[in-house]
Amino acid sequence: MSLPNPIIRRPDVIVIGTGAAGSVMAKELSSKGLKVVAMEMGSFNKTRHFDQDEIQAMHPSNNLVDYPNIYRYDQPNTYRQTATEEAVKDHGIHMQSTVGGSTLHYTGISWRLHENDFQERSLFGDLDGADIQDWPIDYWDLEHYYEKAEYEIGVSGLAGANPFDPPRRRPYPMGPVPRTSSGALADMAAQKLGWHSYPAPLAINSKEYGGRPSVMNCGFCESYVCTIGARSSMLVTMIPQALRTGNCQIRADSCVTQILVDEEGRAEGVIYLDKNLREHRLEARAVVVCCNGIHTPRLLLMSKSNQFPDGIANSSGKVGKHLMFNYYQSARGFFEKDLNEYKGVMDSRIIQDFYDPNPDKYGFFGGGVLEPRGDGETISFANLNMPRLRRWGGRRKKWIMDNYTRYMVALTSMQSMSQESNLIDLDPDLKDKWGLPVPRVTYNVHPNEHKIGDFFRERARELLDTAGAHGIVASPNFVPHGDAHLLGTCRMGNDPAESVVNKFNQSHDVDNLFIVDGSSFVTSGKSNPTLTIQALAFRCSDYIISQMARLNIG
Amino acid sequence: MKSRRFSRRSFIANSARATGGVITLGMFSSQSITAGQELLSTEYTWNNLNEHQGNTIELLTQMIMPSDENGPGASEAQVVVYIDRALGTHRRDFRESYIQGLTAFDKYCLVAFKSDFVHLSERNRRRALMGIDRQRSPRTWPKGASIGAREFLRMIITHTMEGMFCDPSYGGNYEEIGWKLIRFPGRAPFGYDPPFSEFDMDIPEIQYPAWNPYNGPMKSRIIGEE
Repeated sequence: MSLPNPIIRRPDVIVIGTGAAGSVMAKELSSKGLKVVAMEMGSFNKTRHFDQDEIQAMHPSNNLVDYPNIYRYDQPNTYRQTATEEAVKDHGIHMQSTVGGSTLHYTGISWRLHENDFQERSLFGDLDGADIQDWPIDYWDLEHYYEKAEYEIGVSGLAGANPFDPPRRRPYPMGPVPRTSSGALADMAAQKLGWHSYPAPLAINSKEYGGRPSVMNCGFCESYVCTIGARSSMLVTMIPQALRTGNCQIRADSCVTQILVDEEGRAEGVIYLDKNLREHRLEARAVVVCCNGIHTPRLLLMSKSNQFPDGIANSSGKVGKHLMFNYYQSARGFFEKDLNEYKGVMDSRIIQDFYDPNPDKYGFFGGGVLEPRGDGETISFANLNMPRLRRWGGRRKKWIMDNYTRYMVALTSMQSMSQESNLIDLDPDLKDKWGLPVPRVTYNVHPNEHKIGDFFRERARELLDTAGAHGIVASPNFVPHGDAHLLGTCRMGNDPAESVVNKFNQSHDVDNLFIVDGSSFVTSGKSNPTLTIQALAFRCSDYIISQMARLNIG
Repeated sequence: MKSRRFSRRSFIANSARATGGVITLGMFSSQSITAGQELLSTEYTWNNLNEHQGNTIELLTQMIMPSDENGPGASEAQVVVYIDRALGTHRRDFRESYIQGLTAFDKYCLVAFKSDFVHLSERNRRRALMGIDRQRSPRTWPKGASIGAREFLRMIITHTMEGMFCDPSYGGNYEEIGWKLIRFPGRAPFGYDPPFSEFDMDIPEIQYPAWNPYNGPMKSRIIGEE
């Protein structure tokens, strides 16, 4: 199946980025008759280019370079913990730079944020050293769009199974995927502990849906591209739907270097480089930036003009500030019998009993979730650092042989605190292959995150211990250099002095410029931001269409 | 690479000749050649390492994943072939680290044990490896080497595991020896049906309460319908 990719020379809308948000924007806008060009700096691969191959799937943070290049993320960044340090080259920012973005390989966990997540400042107050704010929207602004995302993209799950879930008007379009061994053990342990384990809502088909097959439980799940298209990635859902309208062109291998503004300070188009580094100019009535929480602010900061000397849409000076990852901890436990976690999806159960622990009782702000899981990776398992076990020799070999099929992980995904000092800006020295400044990440954890980490590490241990694991090894607190969840750097708000976009993801400064992705998040939520990013994109599309129909923009 | 298959025995024998006949078959783990193993006489042509470098890496990978009473190791899985090939493709960036690291490693062995690594006794080879595993850089590791001792060892360990468990098309994990060792079936183009283990078979599914649609006072706000 190869759909024609039309050439569109005079688009109504330019969408920059074809990941979780950009693909939804492209599909929604083009299906309403608007002409769309969707720009992607990576290449346009087909599912058949990807294989069940651990070497191919190894993340570039493991220094895999140059071959095979379909997963390649050739955008290095630099990192420093605080602004007084010199930043050094780093590969902490995880993103797949291809059409479809990281939805090609993500775990697919797709829960909705809870009602509380949008109003933490009002509900729980401020936190010293952090900048917690309410979102300018609430759960009911997104409920319809969550549902739309679940049905149009394809999310499996079981409504009513999680007692902590926010209210919903419709169940999931599909029941849950088969439970894995780690999921079964989590069920058993959670029941003993009085917790509530429930089937993970996943952007993975549990039956034939949207013309795509059901999950086959092959085990090559997170960090692999699904070879049969059962994962509801953008490449097999929104992208083909956008192309089928005939109104959308995917322009891959095209790196936007600047968003142009006219004399009235309105966005008039973009400058981009093709893969031969030739420069092109493309104009449109509106521009939508969907490059994730790192590359969106980078592009805005690079787009300097007389009207916007500090970068477009940045009169507040907040572009790039308030960077959040989702803090996490993990514990690993070993069992006497086989789990065979090389079979099944990565994560089939979730526990949200500690989504909002009482701050007065536990002494920290925010919360998190437990995500029992396992995978079938052989090389990364063999290379694991284990206490009191040399990484080489007969004992290591025996350990790999004895344990490869017999472990599970209790991952805890948690909240990160919004801090203005955590940011991305332009590195003054290092340039990427396009000749552009790489993003410089300045990131330190808030002491509160260590407290959440300590609390959740013990919950993870408790879960594994109750499930009957031995030899439990838990990760220590740490300072992440990067993550796959890139949030907060163009946050939403009602006050143009304190935020970058309004409650419709529209720039406060430039009315035909929209910014939709993880950068819009005001608080980090507890993890797994993709469904919320997609819901924001469906909602913003409706807004653009209504505004264009009234000729308010463009 | 000229040929995907080559004989472990002839490979080692050739290596021994090339290094002056000092390496004899007996110095390698005897389990590395199992009775009845296919003996082809195809020689392996190095792509990115020279004979001496290749032999040193071969010995190191054997110590990292030994052939022993528990089963075959790096030698049978042809890990050194994986590394030699990878240094020209997806591990190209490490080629210089290998060349510099191997030179430094031999110098270190020469100072500490009076011989380059391949000519050491088995006992001294182990001592040499222990020496660089414990410390960031032992005193005898050459000053000014572009790669530290421990970094060098970690790099080789990491790539040995890759060669042991990669898809066989990369040259290692010969005939899926690594996968068989850990009971990993490899690619699963048609996937699996549950149950996946005794755990998910025996632990009953939780009976969840039936779901009722929300009918509270709050209404979903839809843009364009307000």
